[in-house]
Amino acid sequence: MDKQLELLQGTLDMLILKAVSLGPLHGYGVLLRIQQISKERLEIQQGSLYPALYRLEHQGWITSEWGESENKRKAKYYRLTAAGKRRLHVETENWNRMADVIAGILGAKPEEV
Amino acid sequence: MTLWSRIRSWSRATLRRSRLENEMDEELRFHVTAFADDLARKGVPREEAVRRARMEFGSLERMKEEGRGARGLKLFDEARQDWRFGLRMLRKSPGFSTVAILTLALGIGANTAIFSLVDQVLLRSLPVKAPRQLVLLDLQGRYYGSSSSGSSTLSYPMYRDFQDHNEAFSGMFCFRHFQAGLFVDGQAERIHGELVSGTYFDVLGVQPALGRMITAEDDRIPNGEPLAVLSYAFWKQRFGGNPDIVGKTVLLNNHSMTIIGVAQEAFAGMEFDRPVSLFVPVMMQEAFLGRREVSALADRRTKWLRAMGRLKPGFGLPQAKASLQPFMQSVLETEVNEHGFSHASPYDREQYLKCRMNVLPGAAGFSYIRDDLRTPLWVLQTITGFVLLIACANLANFLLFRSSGRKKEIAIRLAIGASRPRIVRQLFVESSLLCLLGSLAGLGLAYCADQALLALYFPEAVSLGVSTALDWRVLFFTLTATCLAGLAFGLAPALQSTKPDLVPALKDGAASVLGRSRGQGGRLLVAVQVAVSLVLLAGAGIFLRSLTNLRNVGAGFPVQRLIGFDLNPWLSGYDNEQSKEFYQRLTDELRAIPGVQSVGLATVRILEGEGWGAALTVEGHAGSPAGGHAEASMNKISPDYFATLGIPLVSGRDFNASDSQPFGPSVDLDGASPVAIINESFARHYFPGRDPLGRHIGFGGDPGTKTTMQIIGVVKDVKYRGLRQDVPDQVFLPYLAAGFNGQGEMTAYLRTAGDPASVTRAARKKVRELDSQIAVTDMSTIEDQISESLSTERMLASLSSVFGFLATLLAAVGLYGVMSYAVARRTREIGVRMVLGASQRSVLGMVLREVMLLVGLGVLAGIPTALVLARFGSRWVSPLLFGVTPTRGSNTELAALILAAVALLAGFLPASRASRMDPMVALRHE
Repeated sequence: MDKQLELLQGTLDMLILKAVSLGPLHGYGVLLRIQQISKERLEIQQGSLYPALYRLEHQGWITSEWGESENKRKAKYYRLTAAGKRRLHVETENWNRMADVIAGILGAKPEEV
Repeated sequence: MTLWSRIRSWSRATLRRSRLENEMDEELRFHVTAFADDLARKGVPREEAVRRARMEFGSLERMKEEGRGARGLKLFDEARQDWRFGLRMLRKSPGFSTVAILTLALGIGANTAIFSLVDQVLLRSLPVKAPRQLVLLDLQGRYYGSSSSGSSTLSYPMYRDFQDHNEAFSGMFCFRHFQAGLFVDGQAERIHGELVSGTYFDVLGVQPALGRMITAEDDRIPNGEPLAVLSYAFWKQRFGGNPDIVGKTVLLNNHSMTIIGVAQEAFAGMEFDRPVSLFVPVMMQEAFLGRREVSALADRRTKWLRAMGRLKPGFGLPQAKASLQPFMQSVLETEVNEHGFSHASPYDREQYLKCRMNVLPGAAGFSYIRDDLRTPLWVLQTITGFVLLIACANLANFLLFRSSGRKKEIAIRLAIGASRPRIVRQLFVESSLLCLLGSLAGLGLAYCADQALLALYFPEAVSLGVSTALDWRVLFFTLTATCLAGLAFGLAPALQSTKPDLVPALKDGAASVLGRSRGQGGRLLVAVQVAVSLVLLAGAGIFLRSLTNLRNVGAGFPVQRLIGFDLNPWLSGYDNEQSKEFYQRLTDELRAIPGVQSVGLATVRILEGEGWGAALTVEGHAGSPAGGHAEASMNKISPDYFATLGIPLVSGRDFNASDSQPFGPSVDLDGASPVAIINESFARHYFPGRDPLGRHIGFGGDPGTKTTMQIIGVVKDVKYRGLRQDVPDQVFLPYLAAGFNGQGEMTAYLRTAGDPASVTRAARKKVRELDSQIAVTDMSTIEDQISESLSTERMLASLSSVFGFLATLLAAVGLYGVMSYAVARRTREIGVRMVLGASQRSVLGMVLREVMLLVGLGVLAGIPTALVLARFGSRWVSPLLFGVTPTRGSNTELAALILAAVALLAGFLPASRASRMDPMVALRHE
């Protein structure tokens, strides 16, 4: 297994939005899903997850309601709102453009400059 | 969208806080449990799994804290903590808190109480549409003709001229206050009313609550518009708000008038101190002001009503004034060439042409009381401002001591990581709490104080619509004062005590032996307090002396056991003959009351601010050098008037019954009589070195006036309008002489042998027996009347004294605080001195010297300040004073003495405490 990567500053919100956009999840589930999709290559500080969730909810991009977990426990499930969907879209676009630009810069060869 | 969701989320978080906390707790626990479950499933033993899950997850509390932060709750939480902590700190030192809150309450209460009066008397606008656009026309210059009803009046034709010719106003109206007898449903009463032009309600924008208002249609036929509009309050109070009132007829001064409507709520005419019950078209003026040879509606030589205009957009007072002058000039030029000026001297003509039309702000309507109280109230407001300043200085000092007492605590909190802004905020919240509690107590105090003030100084004020109710404007004022005060005394100590040099504060050792330089700011504040108190005490001294002077100057006749009351049979429909008969019978009946020594009647009630001035021609006197004619203050009196008031005859004789007989057909001038009595001043002025007896005077100042009235007596000088004014030249005429005019009010004076109170009741009964429809008004002893006429002076003198002493008391408390603190800080030093042989006396002396230094500094600063203020305030305050000038009459020395005594007393307590210290205890003191 590859060594785990540290999450880039400011990307956690985007990842949470993406994770939740695939279906309602509780906090622990968000963590699991991101790790699962990234094939365990990304390490998320558990401490930073909940403040991020609350922040997103405070801003109205996700919303929560109480439900039952797989193990028949009471858990809080988060869902993407319409505003959150738009936000995710914008952030994804921005990210892709940024990634292109950065990749372009890093891939530059002397003769191209 | 997201802003809205943020607000929603925030409000949900704050309002349903405990639920939020529970949910957060549950959610985080679920996470840990689920994590532990997963670990257990991977084969980790259960207990180990739970431990690891907890470890990896980290501190639940910290996560919750961050969660609260994410929801924008951090500030809210901290503020709540600050307030809670602040309250706890206040409770912890109840003595300090009480003194601080009381100090503030006094300062804020005094200001609020006075401002509530300022607001109601001076600032409140009329309850009409856009009151700021209203202006009052004010004719300035020497009028030729007769004027009634005081300042800012015009003749009706002149008002109409301006109504038709002006560019400045979108509309104009006129009004005139009157009193009348109202007879409705078999009951008689005296009411106040206003004669108004047809444009009045329209220009003011006053709407009917019922029926219709008086309109331009009602402005046409003199004596032919018998209509009345009721004020809302009168409709409610007198007619129980009966909606069927419209169309009903009432008798007003024996004229039947039809009620056509009720004006909108809260509107009661143009004079706030004389709210009116009803409005009548100005066309009906004869019914209220009396019939004259020339109708007042056509006479240009009588000014009797006030005119107001509503400024057009773009016109200010100066522009309006300028735009009125050209037309004013043409009106004046037309008038001097009319019949009314045919007998006028060139001087009168010339002076009249110099008249100008001024405009005054009219937003608050018109009021004599307001003019009288303007300066006194602002003076008092300034004084209370100073008192608040002193109170704030005290609080600043208290907080400084307290925060330096808490230096160690604050240093520890800073050292373990509290941020400076956080602690400043905390300290600031504490002072704000004090402020808030102080201002609440102050509001309560102000409410009580206002009630006492009204009862003491304005017994009639409640009927004037002045009340103790605190409205939003007063609350706003208090709030502003409180915030300013809080900033002033809260911030400096907070900033000072959080200065970031922690080490010396934490050590807190050597400084207490050698630290004399600390607390200089506090001492400076005390010196300033002493100086301000001195200024206030000196000011109070001036007002007190002025009041004493007024009391001492006296009326010129014995005022004890003398009663006066007013009546007016004309208002109940009496004609001249009936009135004459009534007065004669009244005199006899009143004289028959047991305990009444004599009875006198007069048309002018003296010492009440009223007066009747007339132009005269004096035999053998060429008039004044300026070209003006002789003038005198007049009164028409009954034969026993002088005896009743106790005014001695200097020479000649009093009037007798035969003087009242008609003189002959040659006398046609209004009010003329065959005989007259003058006072000493008139004799000195117009007959210097000659005997005035047997000489003649005539009514009117025009050249060629016949002098038909013979002087038969001279009486001693007494005051006329009021105690404040000099004795004027006076002429007395017999009241029942040829020109008797029964339309005015008459004052009856009774000299009693014993207690006036019993006679008062008997006199009322007699009048009622003569005619139950005639109302007796303003019944009082002359002593009371004079005392009431000095109510403004009394108010100024007593309130400025109270505030002066309040300031002194606060300064003393401040001084006590500063010295106690200084002594406490120097405990160890004093202990060392005593061990080294200093005596109790020398320690006492040492502390007292410091007290003296502070007081001396304050007094030294205060004396020149008082002088400078007196010089600048002189022009402003002088009209309020009698026999004192602010620059010379003040008792600064006495004030300084009082202050020094009080201050020494305040300083003596901590000084003696210092001198009685046990040196061994003092040395161990930390």
